[in-house]
This record gives sequence, C-alpha cells and structure tokens, in this order.
Amino acid sequence: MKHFILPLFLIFTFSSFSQARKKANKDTRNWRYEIEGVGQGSMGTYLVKSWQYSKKPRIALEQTKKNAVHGIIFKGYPSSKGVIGQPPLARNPILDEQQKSFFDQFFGKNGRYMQFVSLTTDGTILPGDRIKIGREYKVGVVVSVQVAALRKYLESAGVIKGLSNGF
Amino acid sequence: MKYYIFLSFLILSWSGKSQISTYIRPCMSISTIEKEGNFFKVINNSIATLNFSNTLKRVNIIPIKKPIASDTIFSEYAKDITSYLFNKDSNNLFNVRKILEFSEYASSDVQSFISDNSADKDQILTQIATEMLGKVYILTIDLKKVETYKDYYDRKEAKRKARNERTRKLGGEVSESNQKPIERKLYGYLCDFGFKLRQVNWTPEMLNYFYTNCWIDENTPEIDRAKKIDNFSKLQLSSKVVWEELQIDVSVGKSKSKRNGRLIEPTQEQMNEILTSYLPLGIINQTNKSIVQNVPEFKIFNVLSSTYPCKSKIGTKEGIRNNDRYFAYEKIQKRDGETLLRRKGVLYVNSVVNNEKDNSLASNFLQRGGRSLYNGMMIYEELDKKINFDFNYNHSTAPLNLSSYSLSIGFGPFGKRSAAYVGLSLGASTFQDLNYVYNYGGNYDADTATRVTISPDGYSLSVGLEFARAIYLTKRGNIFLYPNFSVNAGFLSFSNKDGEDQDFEDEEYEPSPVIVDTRFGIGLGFHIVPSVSIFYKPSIGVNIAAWESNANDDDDESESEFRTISEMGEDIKRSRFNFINTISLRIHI
Repeated sequence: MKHFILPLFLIFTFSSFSQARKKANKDTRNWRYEIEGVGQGSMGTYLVKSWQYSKKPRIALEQTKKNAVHGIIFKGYPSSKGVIGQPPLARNPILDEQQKSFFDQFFGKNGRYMQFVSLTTDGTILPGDRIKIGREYKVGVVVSVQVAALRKYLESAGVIKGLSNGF
Repeated sequence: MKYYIFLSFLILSWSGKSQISTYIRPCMSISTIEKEGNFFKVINNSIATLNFSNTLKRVNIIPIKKPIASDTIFSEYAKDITSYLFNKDSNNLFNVRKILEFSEYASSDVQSFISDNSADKDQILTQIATEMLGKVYILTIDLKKVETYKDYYDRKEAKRKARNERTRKLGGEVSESNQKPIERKLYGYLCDFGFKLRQVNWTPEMLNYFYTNCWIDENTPEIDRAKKIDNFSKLQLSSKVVWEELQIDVSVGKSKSKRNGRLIEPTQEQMNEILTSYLPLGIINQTNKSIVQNVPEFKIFNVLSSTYPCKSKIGTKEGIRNNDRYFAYEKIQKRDGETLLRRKGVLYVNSVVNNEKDNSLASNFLQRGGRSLYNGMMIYEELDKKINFDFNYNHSTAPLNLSSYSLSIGFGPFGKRSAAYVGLSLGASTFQDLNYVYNYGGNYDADTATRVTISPDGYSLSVGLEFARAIYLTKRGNIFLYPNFSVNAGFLSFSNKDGEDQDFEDEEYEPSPVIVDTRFGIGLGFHIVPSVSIFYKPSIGVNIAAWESNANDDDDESESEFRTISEMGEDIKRSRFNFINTISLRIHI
C-alpha cells in the first residue's frame, strides 16, 4: 500500500498545479484581468500595473506577466492619474481568434511573451495592491513591457500591420 | 521641468495622494526652548550641534536646530524649514533638489523600479515628495530640570536626616538601615524634560499659494521677484501639536571607580562628556521612543515581499530592530466597495538587513501566531511592551502543593529564533491535615529534640523566578514548545494544629517553614489571538531545601534553621518529588 502513496501524492500535487495554471490561463483568455498605466515608460516601454484575479491566495507572477502583455496587445489602457492611456497594438478586435495558433504558442508554456516583459526583482507588490474580494483575490503587480520590441515582433510575424501600412 | 514638478505636486496633492500609500519618512527638525542656566544652555547647544541620524533612523532630519524662545511663532520656524526643503539659496531662488533627494532615499524598490523605467524619472519621486510634505514636523524639547547625581544624593541625604530627626522627636527608634548615609555610587546627570511635536500644515491651498506667490527660480521675471520675496516673508504656515509629553525623566549615571576601597570622584572632563554627549542622546532617545509608539505617521508599514521565510524590504534605513512586533493585515473589499484591513498574523523581526544603499534587500521575520500569510500582505509596526501576565493553575497529586494558583509577570520575548522569557510569580495554595513533624521549642539538636507530629490546616504563599524559551514548531508559529525552569520558595502558614480544636495561640513555638523547590518542564503553548496564548506545562518539581523558624517569635533577628525535607513529616517527604500539571493563560502586552 505504502508504495502507492508517494506516486498518488505526486500525481495529485501535479494535477492541482496544472489545474490552477489552466484556470489562470482561462481567466486571461476571458480577459479576467485589468491593466492600468502607472507611469510614462522610458523609450519603447509601457509601465503598467497588471491586476489578476485568482481564487488562490498565492500570486502567479508568470500569469501577471502574461496578462500585461496580453493587455498591451488586445486591451490597451485608459488615461489615469497623470498617465496618458495607450490603445491596444491589435486594431482588429477578433485578432486572437484569427491568429489562435500563433497566440496559443506565444502565450503558451515558456512562450515568447516572456521576452517583452520584466518586473521588480521578485515581483514585490505595493501596499494595498492585494485585495480580497469575496472569495477571490485581486493582485496588482507593476511590470514594464517593451512595447517597441513587441510591436516589431508581431509585425515581423505578420500578426499585426505596421504603423506605416495605414497610409 | 521644475514647473512640471511643481505642477505635479499640486495635482497629486489634490487627486492622487493615495497612489503610493507606502511608508514615507517624515521630515523633522529638532529645536529646544531657550532657558537661562548653565546646564540648560550646554544641553541645548549640544542638541543643536550633535548628529542624531543614528538614533532617529526613520526620519529625514532637517538640520535647523537652533534654540528658540518659548513664545516663538512657529510659522517663522516652519518657513525656515520650507526654505531648507525647497533648497532656498542666497539669491532667494528655490529648487526641488533637496526634497527629491529625500524622496530618492525613501523610495522602495518598486518605486525605484517605476522611476528607473519611466520616461520622467522624477515623477515617482515627486509623488513621494508630495506625501513627504504632509509629514513635516517640528520637535521642540523643553528642559525642565537638570541636576547632577551629587545634588540628587545630597537631596536624598537631607531627606534621610530630616526623617530620622522626626522619628527621634516622636520618640521612635531609627532603624539601622536608615542610620547609614546614602551610598553615592554613580556620577552623571538626571534630567526632567517635556516635548511637543508639531506638524506643519501643508494644505493644497497653501502649496498653491506658495508656488504662485512665493516661488522664485531662474525663470521668474526680475520684476516679480521683490514682490514674491515679500510674500514669502509674510507667509503664515500653520502647525498643529500632534503629540506632547509633559514630563519624561532621563538619567545618565556611570559607576564611580574604586581605589583602595574608596569611590573616586569623577573628573570635570568625565562630567562634561556626559552633559554634552550622553545626556542629549538620552533625551533624544526617550523622545524618539515616545513618538514612535504614539504617532501613527512614525510607525513603519510595508508589504511582505515573500513568505516562509517571511521577508519585507525594510531594514536599518527605517530603524527597525530585532524582536520588534508587526501585525500582518489583509485588505478586504466588501460588496459595497468599502475596504478594510483584517489582521491575519503576528510577526517578529528576526534579522535586520542593512538596506541603506540597496532598497531591494529584505529583513527576515518570524511568524508567531495567526493564519497563513502571503506575498503582498501589509505589515504594520505594533511595538509591544514585552510584558506577559500569566494566570496559572498548578495541579499536583502530592500532599503539599506550594502554589495551586499563581500569577506571573514576565518579560519577553528576547533573543532570536527561539524567544527567551523571564518571569516572577506569586502563588498561593491551601492544605488540610498535612502530616508535619517539628522539633518542639525549636531545638534542632537531633539527640535532645522533642519531636511533635501535627496535622495542621493552612496555606502557602510562594514566590518564584522562571526562565523559559518558546521554540516555535510550525511555520505559522501558533504552536510552540516551552521548556522552562523555575525556582520557587513557598512560605507555609499553619492555621491550627490538629483539626479544629487545637491551635498555636497559647504556644511559644509555632513552626513556620519555608520550602524551596525547582521545577523543570517542557510545555506546549498555543496562540489563541496575538496577545493571548494558553499553555499546558507538565513539570517535575523537586523540593531542594527547607528552613523553619518560629512564627510566634516577635524578634526580627531570630534565625531560621535549615531542616532536611525527610525529617519534616510523611506528607512533606512524599511531596519532595512531584509531578505538576500546569495550565496557564498568558496575556501579552
């Protein structure tokens, strides 16, 4: 009997982690996150706070990064508190459906999205940016997204059109 | 650029003040009330010249520390501070360099990250500076009395003599201890002082007026300058007292050295050193302690950057110390949108990191009670007095239990991972039909003694000294082991000799034993709430010594005699080794 306990425990642990990640990915796909500008980023970058929702109290930092890049591509963010808002990189509202395979890979495990985003040394949160709402947790982490490089990559991949294409 | 920064000050002070909500270092200037008297002048001058940056770690010190008259208009003083914060130069030009410097030093690593990755690096610093302007304080210290230890001893000596004189006049006898002159072991100074902490009232309107009508920089037209200088000289900055202490005692006394058994008087140099350096430092220390404990703006708060091990990015820069207590809070948003903080755990600083140059370094904390903590929870400094009150119930099957009920006052936690405690206890217990043997008449010569066996009722009173450590078993620190060792002395008092009908009233000799026991045990404790914990402390008690004296002997100097436990009767003998179960309730303040 005891020979089975460890493998069962490992399978259970792995599957719960995997379920949590799947749930977080689903939340991102359903746009269950928010981003807001926190400052005018230096050349070619946006400084945003990425808010994620989770039933688990632990923060999934990778998901936060993913949400930030996803938000920059598909949502943009409004002006607030002296920070000028930015439109999404994708002007086509159904781009994610049209380029599903590209974005599945881009936002997949170890996807390329990670190249364009950075956060503080260990993703420290500002006081008050971790809020429990009902049974969920809303957590905001400040990240810097290299928008110029991201745009260039998406353009070269033919996912979005270049800025000059409209003229 | 400077216009933009100032505009930001204004915008932020109206709209976005809550954006940062991180710990902002207050700015504080220290002044003293001018007073006649040599000691006062020397101390005031020392406070004005000494550097207290090591003592006042969590504030930006504004080096305007001149002694001021008691009727000083604080608006004038606040204006000096404004000139300092906005770096006013000899040409009456202002700039924001100084306050941005302060902001940069105060910024957290997230703020540094935002600043480093921003097109406008000063924006976040401006936000910090805006909040910092709301935390500008003027501390005024009012020395009330300074005396040397020599004067203090003279005063005590005069009092002693007068008291003895009075006793003699009333026909009483002066006790031996009162006949001895007061010992003059220490040299140094004793001081009484009070202080007031004023907050400069920098309202958005005031800031707007200051910028519009007083601010001068190189872009200000020549024609406007004279008017603006005049406006600044007439500027009325209000301030309010946020905390005051009317009387604090501080004493700095050093032991006199001895030569040939005689105490050596201190040199003038030694006395001056205390007066000009140690005493001012003691005054600032006491003041700082009072402010940090009582003014919320001086309490540190931050977030947990990681948990288990619990870390937060604060350290020596904020002046935190080992064993400081913090409460962890979770921010909760209710359905109606209202947010509140709910306490989730208690943390104690375990190791302090030096973050003066690197704000990404984090100090270590140990959780001691509460629920699971997570990255991003807020922690607030809630310093405790490190005093514990324990209500104990001791149960033992031995015929004699020195303290069935006891109350302890203790101090702790001290030390690092496993917290040390020390406590003093007072206990009481009753007994009935105790088999007790005494040597009638107090004759302890075993050959000639008349041994009498009695079965008295009575009670015991005990005093004890306990040393213990709390070793935390779980990561949340709710459950802990409590190895403890105590020494107790129980004073037995017999109310009658054999049941109801025989007492000691008519007898010359009433045995009054003192039994000393030691107890070793390992307890198990549980934190119910941060300030309350319960213990189960099984321990082994060993009675190690006993003395007996005569309770009916009025002579204070009658000596008590040592007795062996085994000779004191069957019940006392059976109580020599006993197993004691203790249940304690601890209230920690």
